[in-house]
Amino acid sequence: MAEGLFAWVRDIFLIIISLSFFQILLPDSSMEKYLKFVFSLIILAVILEPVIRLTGNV
Amino acid sequence: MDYEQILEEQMNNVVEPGQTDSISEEAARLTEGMTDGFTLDKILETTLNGESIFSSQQLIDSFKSLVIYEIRAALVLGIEILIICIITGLLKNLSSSFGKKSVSDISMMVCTMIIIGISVNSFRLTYNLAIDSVTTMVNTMEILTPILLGILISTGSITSGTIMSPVMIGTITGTGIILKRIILPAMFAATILALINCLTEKDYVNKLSKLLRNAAVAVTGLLLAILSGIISVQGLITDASDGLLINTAKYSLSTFIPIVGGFTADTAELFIKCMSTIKSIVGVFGIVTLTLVILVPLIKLLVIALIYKITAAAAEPICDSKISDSLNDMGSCIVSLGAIMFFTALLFIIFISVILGMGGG
Repeated sequence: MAEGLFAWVRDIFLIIISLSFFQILLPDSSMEKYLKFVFSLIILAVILEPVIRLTGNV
Repeated sequence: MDYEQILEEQMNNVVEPGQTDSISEEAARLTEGMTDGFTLDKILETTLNGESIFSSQQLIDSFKSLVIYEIRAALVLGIEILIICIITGLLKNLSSSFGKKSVSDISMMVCTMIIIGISVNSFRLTYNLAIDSVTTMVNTMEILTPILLGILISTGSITSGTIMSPVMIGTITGTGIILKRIILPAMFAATILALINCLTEKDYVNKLSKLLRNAAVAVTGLLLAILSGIISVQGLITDASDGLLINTAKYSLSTFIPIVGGFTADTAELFIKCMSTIKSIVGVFGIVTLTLVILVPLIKLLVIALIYKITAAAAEPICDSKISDSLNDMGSCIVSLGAIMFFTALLFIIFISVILGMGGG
């Protein structure tokens, strides 16, 4: 239980740090807001990972 | 043969010498020797001499030195964080002269990461302290409860002793496992999430961190309410049935046995009173140990939380509001950690008080 929780938090931590680095390094373009949306979706998926694992075998 | 000798002999019969040494050692390690004056032997001695078990001057002095020491240790941390905050504020103002926006962004991010690193490192120590404190409390209860219940049975509360024994030991072990496996790790996760939040412009995990924190505190509160309720009500009912048993036994001894019956009943009552004195002494030892084991880490935790809050307040004018919000949340998380520990200690102290309140004829 505790190990799973720590792994989950580590995942969230790493994904947020790496995505914010990407966001800074991205060139200014019209695609930026769509990319931000995609990043948010990725973070959402990582946050919901335990729920997905609990509800079914995905 | 005076009563002191009788009491000491009975004490050695019920509590094997050395059985509580491991508790005292563990507590002394955690509280840096503050529990040395409260071992079982010393409490027995002061009770027999009719003295107060607390020497107030010494207690106040040791707490004062503890608080001052902790404030000094935590102040270093606060100043480190504050210096980095000043640097980030400077970077933000200088960012126009860097030309490119991404350069200043990355430097800000690195500074924020350093703040996160320092905070996580100090939080890990705090978290280990909380785990140690909970472990010591659970160990103390696991050793003391069988002793107390044994004494309770020898005061004549047979029903209480036999019914309470599995309920209580199960509850204590279960509480320890739930706290160490679920609630405290959830608090750890909540704190880390609160810290990550200062990295990003948008709030990604702010609500998640608050949810985890509130859920952890709520579950502990619920645990306290349910378990203490069950134990108290159970104690009342079994105590009533035991009182009936003892009074019937005393009455029939003095009435149905001719001539010596009165003396026998008096002797039985004396024995029961003696046993309940021993029970009080062991219970007081348990409560004092639990109180010190919770108090010393709690003071450390609250001092660290206070330093975080002060740092957050001081950092607000010079740097990003994100960073000061995160530091403030971190302080709240540590306060919640302290609240969870306090609830646990309260639950265990209620257990001991219920056992102390039961029986005694």
